[in-house]
Amino acid sequence: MTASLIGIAILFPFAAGFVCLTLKNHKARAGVVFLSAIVLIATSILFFSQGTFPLGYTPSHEWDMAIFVLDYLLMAYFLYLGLNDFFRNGIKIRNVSTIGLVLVQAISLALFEFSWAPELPITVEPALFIDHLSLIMCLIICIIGSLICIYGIKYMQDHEKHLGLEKTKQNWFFFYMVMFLGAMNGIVFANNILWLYFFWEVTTLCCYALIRHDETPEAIESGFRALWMNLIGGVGFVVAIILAFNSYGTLSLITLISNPTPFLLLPLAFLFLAALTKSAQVPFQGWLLGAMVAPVPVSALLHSSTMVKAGVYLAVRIAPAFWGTSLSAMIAVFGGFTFMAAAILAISQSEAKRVLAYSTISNLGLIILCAGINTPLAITAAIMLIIFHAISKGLLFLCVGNIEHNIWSKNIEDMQGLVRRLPLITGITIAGMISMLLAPFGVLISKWAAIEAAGASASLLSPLILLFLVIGSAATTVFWVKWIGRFLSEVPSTEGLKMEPFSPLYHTPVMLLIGGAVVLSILIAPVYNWLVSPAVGTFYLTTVSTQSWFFRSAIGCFVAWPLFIVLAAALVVPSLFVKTKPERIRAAYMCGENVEYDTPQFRSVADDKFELQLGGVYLEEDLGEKKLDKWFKVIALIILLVLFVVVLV
Amino acid sequence: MAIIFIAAIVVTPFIGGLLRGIDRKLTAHMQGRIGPPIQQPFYDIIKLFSKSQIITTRSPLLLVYGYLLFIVAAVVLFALKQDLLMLILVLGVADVLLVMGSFSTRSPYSQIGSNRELLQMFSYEPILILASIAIYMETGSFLISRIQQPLLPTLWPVYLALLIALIILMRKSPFDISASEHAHQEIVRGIFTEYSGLYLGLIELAHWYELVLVLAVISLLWTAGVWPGILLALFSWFIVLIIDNINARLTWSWMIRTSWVAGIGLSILNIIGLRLFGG
Repeated sequence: MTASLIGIAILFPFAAGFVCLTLKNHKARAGVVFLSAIVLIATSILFFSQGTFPLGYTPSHEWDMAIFVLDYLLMAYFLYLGLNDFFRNGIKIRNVSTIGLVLVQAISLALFEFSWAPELPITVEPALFIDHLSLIMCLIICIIGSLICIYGIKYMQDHEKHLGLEKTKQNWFFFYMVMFLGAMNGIVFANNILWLYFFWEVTTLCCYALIRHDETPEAIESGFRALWMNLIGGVGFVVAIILAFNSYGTLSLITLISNPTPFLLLPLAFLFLAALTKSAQVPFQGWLLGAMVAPVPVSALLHSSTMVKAGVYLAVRIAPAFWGTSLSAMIAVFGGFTFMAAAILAISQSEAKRVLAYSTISNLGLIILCAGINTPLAITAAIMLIIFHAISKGLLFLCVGNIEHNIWSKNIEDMQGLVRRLPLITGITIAGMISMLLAPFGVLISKWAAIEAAGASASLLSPLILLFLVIGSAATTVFWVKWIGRFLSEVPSTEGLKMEPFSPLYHTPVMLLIGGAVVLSILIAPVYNWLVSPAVGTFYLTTVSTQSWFFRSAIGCFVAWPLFIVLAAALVVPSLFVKTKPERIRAAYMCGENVEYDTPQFRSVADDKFELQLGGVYLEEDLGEKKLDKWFKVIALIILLVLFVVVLV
Repeated sequence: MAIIFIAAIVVTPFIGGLLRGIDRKLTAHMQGRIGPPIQQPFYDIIKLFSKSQIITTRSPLLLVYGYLLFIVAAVVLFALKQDLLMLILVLGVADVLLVMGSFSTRSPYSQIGSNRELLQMFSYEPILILASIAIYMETGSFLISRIQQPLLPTLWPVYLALLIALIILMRKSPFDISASEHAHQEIVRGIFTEYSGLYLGLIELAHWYELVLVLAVISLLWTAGVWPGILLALFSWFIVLIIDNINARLTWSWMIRTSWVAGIGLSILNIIGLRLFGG
């Protein structure tokens, strides 16, 4: 049973992807996407309810051979991409770095496998290892990822209609989208580091192909940037493989984690390098920001359930191995710096998807910070953040995609007063932002746990980490609330709200996601007991108790449900009491006579009509990318260098 | 527990209103005026509640209730001696709801006020969170119930930082940038411009709760019995009144610089000290 479920979770998306590729008919393709969504969701839930964890599983050894061959085929394809671009467009950073990085990877891996390794291919018992952390990731990938694919069916129809394409490219789009989910399941299940590395590279391929999907010059450029930046991580992976095999004599990830040897930190540091390029941490954030040119479902997938989550998954996965070391402390500093830097940079952004991207980078930094602090409470915070961030961020991207297809703009300033024009989707968007921003929602409970864990950390660097944490957290409030402010800023009107037409393929996924964010936040205690606690408990002693559904750690206590009652009261009470009669409504004060009640105009000099113009603050001069970006990159690079120096010394 | 719960909700606004009344009397004396009677804030609020309602749109009104409810929730959490960090986050929720309310009317003044209120949060929130962490480092718990010794001797830099936060939270000069204390300035009444009648009254009520709550948090720094803490809080409150009366309103960038360099700087130095030399 479990064996077949594992097989379905990894192989079915690959198969469904290939079927999508061959289908030219839209309806048939939509059917396959639906079917794979249902299969994946059912598989993950069945797996969660049936299996006993942790469990190891080794499929037949032909699979080792297959992955061994496919590895080199994949690298050959990357090399072809680089060379092709080189011969067409001449020397550019993108093709030179792609070719260089692929060659370094291929040569060192070949040297290792063909001349140093005792057997070919190297096998590991068990090849797959699944504990509750893998299971949480699998649930996120299968459920949220599938919802995004379903949303993509309608989105891509509208997208291609808007672009006026003659020949559809959707078969390729869904090929990569669905395959992505299989590769992600492979990453979170793999125990053999070579397998992990293979699936890692498949996600790099999917990411590259999906970003360049529209094939505009900008999309191609961004695709290549994603490719070569992630290949840096690939190189890190190969180095880690070689070093790990030299020092441990095995490539079993679990052996590495459960026998921590503080003086053998170097392979872990290189694995961490791979994790942070995948998670787009400063200074590697460029590829994720560039990925914004891709269609919205791609962004939603990259940011919530796949790609960047693979990076933080790996960081949390290997955290027990560097427990209590200086590497751990430096990782916390590194993550904390990204958390702060990305949150500050988000303030000056006026493009919706860029704000979301910076928010993702920032939250991933927080997860890495937690992995670095490395206490049970911090790991709890990290895993809860992975769950709640995946839900809320997937939701917000889908919402922005829907808004974009209504107003054909991604600029936040064009979204002024949208709460009146598109009440349904804007309402859900605001709720989604609030779930990222305010207590007592899951993200904030995780942040609360993160701050308390950082305060309790015994590391000498903890004041620095705390500084990053408090500033980043305050900046987060600023950029979310001012965006919500743009949505709400409406011209007064006495008319009631009119809902926009309901579109099942657009609205069902977002409603399911916002429902999930709210329900899981309220049910934080059972979520913790069923999912998070066993995941933390595999390698740590858990310290949180959920008596009377309070979230109680050794040093603090978060009372979530009473606050939800307050929130419910804050929503219900006013709608009972607040009665607005039309004759009581007046225009806003504009320091001049208003022209009419429901037009934003006033009379000023010589009785002329003046248009009222409002806008958000962006503090471009003080906090803009131009001013801060390069400094942040330099500082992050220095922290990274120090990290490696600390490990080597 | 039920008694504490009800007492916190009922008694707190009376203390807050009384403090506001004394505040106005003292301020008037400092400015060479006689000032209103001490019970004036209560007259004001009763009058505001009985006024007919004039509004611009519906959504700000909805959010005013949320603002009040979450501040009251924070007061109750304090009275029940719950987690200090959670209390600060709940206070943040209240302030965010207030800002959202003022953003939802297209009035230039309330929008400027909202943007500035966000910058105020940007300034004071880090100080409050760092203070809660410093208190944790001394007591070994984030729960208010675990604070049993006087903390001021080791946490005096945090106390100074909290004074800066207190000025911002009391909306006093030089940091009353989101809602100028006195109308008829360039941003009129800033974030509160478009509220009137009942809703302005509810906001004022929320301020009373907030004032008492913030002073109560400061009183935690001297818990050798009840009175030293209260005296410390009242002393801090009086200092803020003096600072208010000898300063002009300054710019937001100056506020952020001051609160970050002095406020966060002092708190972090305090935390480094505690980390290096033990509590």
